[in-house]
Amino acid sequence: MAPDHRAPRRPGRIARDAARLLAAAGLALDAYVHARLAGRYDGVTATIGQGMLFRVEAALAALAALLVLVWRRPGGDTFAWLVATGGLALLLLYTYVDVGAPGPLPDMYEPHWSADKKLAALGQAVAVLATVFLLLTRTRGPRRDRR
Amino acid sequence: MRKTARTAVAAATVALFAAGVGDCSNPGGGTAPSRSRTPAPRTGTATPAGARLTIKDFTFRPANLSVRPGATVTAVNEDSTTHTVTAGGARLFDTGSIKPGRTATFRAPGRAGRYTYTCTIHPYMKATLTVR
Repeated sequence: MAPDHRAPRRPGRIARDAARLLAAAGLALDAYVHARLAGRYDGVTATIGQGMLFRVEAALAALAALLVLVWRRPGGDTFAWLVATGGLALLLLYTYVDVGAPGPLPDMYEPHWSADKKLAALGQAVAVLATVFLLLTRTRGPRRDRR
Repeated sequence: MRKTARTAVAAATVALFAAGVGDCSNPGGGTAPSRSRTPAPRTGTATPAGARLTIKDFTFRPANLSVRPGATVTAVNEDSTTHTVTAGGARLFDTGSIKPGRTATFRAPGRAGRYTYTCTIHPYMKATLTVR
């Protein structure tokens, strides 16, 4: 009988797998909330409508969730971090600052913390933290973080 | 990834959370603009010719407007974003999108009663139209 050469799963690997799941879940939540709200915000328009921007955010977040979960490479993790961080930064900006309608963008200022906004912010925050963990604990060398 | 890149990611994350996430529990405080989120509710009465309601700071003013059956109501959007004035449920009246600084009119229901309306874009905005 051939010896079993499989190495036991290291704690670091388990933590990274958990972070991947958390990042993907947060991004999926972000995508779901934005996709669900997009139709409601179609009425807020300039050259570009807020509903369209919500759909773009939903698509980017869904793609990022897939990359983090399936592709499992630093490039995908970085993309996911950018999507989550950018989304959270914009959410906070448009909650606390009335920036008006710059360029083709509509005025998306909304100071109220609705349940949907809390949910999206939670998903984005979890994704930010999880992707930061993935990026900061990445191993170097020939060993790839792939299955 | 180079060490500087890792440091940048960590620093950006810390800055982001320091900037805003902590304020979620206090949306009206800190560096928030001077807009008031919870103005004192007022009650208005329509003139025979019609009535006027104002949308400002994501609030309908007055919170309870009284009009006569079939009266024309003018809604003025003084906010910087789009709103609607829409009766809940049966869609008894609906202005559609009122862009910032614009005005829209609608006809009050012909039957006496108390009608709750909302902004369909921001459903947490609620007020009452009393027809009598």
